[in-house]
Amino acid sequence: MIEHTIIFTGPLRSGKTSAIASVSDIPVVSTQEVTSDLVLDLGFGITQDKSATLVMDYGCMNLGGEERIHLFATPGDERFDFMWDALTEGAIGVVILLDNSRRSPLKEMDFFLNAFGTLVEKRRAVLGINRMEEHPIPTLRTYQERAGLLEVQVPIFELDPRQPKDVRTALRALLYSQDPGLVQSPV
Amino acid sequence: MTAVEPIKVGAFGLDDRARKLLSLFFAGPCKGRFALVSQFQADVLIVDLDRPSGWNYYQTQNTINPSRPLVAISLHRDREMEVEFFIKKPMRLETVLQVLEKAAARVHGASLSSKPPERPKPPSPQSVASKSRLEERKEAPEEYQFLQLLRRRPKADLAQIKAVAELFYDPAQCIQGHLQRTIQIARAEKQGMQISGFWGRLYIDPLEERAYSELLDSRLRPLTVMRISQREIEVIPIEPDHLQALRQGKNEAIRVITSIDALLWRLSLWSSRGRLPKGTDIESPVFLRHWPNFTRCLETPNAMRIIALWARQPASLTDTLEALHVSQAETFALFSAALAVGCAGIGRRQADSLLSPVPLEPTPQRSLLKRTLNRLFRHEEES
Ligand SMILES: Nc1nc2c(ncn2[C@@H]2O[C@H](COP(=O)(O)OP(=O)(O)OP(=O)(O)O)[C@@H](O)[C@H]2O)c(=O)[nH]1
Ligand SMILES: [Mg+2]
Repeated sequence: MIEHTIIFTGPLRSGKTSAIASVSDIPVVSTQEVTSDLVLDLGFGITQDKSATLVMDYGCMNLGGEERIHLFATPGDERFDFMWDALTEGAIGVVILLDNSRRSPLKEMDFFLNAFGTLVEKRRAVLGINRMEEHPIPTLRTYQERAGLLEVQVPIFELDPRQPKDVRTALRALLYSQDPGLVQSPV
Repeated sequence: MTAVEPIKVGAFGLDDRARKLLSLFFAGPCKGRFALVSQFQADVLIVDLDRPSGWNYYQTQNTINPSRPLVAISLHRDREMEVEFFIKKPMRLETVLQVLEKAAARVHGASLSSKPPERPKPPSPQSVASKSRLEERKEAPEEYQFLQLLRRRPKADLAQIKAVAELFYDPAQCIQGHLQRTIQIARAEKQGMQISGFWGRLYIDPLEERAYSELLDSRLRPLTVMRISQREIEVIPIEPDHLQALRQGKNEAIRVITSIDALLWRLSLWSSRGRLPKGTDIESPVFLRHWPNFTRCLETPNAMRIIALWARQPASLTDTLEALHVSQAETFALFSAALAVGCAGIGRRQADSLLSPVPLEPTPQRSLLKRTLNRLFRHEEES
C-alpha cells in the first residue's frame, strides 16, 4: 500500500468531518475503528492509555491500484497541538476550515495558519470559510486582506463543507498551488 | 404560384451604398426571395469581418443566437476564424445567392421544405458585372491603413494587425466598467449603491459584500456585448430602509443574490470574451494579490493553473502562455476578470535580467498530485 495524507483542520464544529464525508470513498469513521498500518504507525487509534490517544475522524480516497490518500480531521482540541507535527510531515496538504459564525474567526485563522506554518510555507494549505451565507461578516475581503498583512499566499474560498463540489475545488487548488504545471489526463 | 415569405437578411458592417445595392439585388434578380432587414429581425445575418469589430461582432452573435446562420464576408479567409458560411470579397452575386440559400436552408429547413422555394433566375452576366461594384472597397480608413501596412510588411501581417486590434476592449464602455465604478464608490463610502439603466437595477452592499440583481444571468449576459455610455447609467445611494429590505429578502424584484466579486467576475469574463483591457502590456509582470473565490466565481479553463503560477511569481501574459501552454483567450479572459475584482495587478515591465521567467520544474510529487487530480475529476463527472 502506498499511503498519503491530507489533513482537515479548524476549530470545533467548523465542518471538518462533513468535508471529509464529502470526498471520502468510505463512510467517515473514527481512527479508533481503523487498523491501517499507517494510522497505527502514526500513533493514532487504539492504545492502552485512552486518555493520551488522539482520536480523529478518518476517510480515504482510493487512487486506484495500491495507492490511497488518508483524510484525517484533527480534533477541535488544542491539547493535541504537539501531535500535528507528526501528522503534517509528508502530508500532501492541509485544508483549514473556519466557521464564520464564531466570535473571532480571524484570530482562528491566524492561529491555524501559524500552527500549520510549515505546510503554509510550502503552498500546501488552503483555507475554506463556511456558513458565509447566514453570516456574511467578516467578508472574504477581510480574510484576504488579513492574509495579505500576514504575507501568506494561500487560496481562500467560501466553502460549504457539506457540498462535495466546494471541497473538491479546495483540494484542486491545493494540488495546483504546488504544481501549476499539472494537467489532468483525459479520463 | 404561392407567395413565399421572403427570407430576412440582415447585414453588419456594410455601408449605405452596399446596402442599397444588396436590396436592389434582392428585389430584382432574386425576385423577392430575400429582403434586407435590420439585424434584429434577420433570419440570416451577413457580417463583414474586415470591419474593425467584425470578428468580435460575429462571435458575439454566434453566442447570443447560435441558431441564426451567420454569413461571414472578408477579403481573406482566415483559418483561425472558424465560420460556417463564407463569401470572399470581391463578392460575386451568384456566390452570394448560393450561400444565402444554404444558410436559409439551415434556418428554414423544416418550415419551408414542403414548399420548394422558388429559385431565382441566376443574374445575367451583365448584371453581375455592374453589381460587382458592391465589393469595391468602401471608404474605410482602417482597412485602407491595414492594406498599406500589409504592403510594407512581410506576408500575414494584416491578419496580425487585425488580431491585435481585436485583442483589446475598453471596460469603461461596458457594463463591467460602470459596475466597477459603482463598487468602488460603494466600498470607499461604505454605502450601499444602486446602479440602473434601461435594463434594470443592480444593488451593491459593500458591508456584506453582496450584490442583488433584478436580472437573471440570461438577461445580464447580453448587456455585456453592448456599448453603454455613462449617460445611460444612473448610480445613486440605496436608502437605509431599502438596504434593510434587500438584506431581509423583502425586495420582490430581486432575482439573483451573489457576492460582489462573483458578479463582477462574471460580467468581466463576458465583457472580455478573451480580450484584454485596453492598454494592457502583455510583457509586463502580472502579480497575484489573492486567489479568486473559485467556489463561487466561474472557473474558466485552466484558471487555477494560471492563478497558481502567478501566486508563485509574477509572470507576464506572454510568459504565462508559454509556461503553461494555455490558450490566449482563456488567459486573457481570466486576467481581465482578475484585474477587475482586484485579485491581480500588473507591474511595470522589468529589465530583462531582473525577471526572466523561471521555468516550471515539475515537482517530485507531480505524478501523485496528478493521480489525485484525476480522482477528483472522476468524481466531478459522476456527480
Ligand atoms: N448551515 C451550515 N452548516 C454547516 C456548515 N458547515 C458545517 N455545518 C454543520 O455544522 C455541523 C458540524 O459540522 P462537522 O462536520 O461535524 O464539524 P467538525 O469540524 O467535524 O466538528 P468537530 O469534530 O465537533 O470539531 C454539522 O451539523 C454540519 O452539517 C455550513 O457551511 N453551513
Ligand atoms: Mg468532527
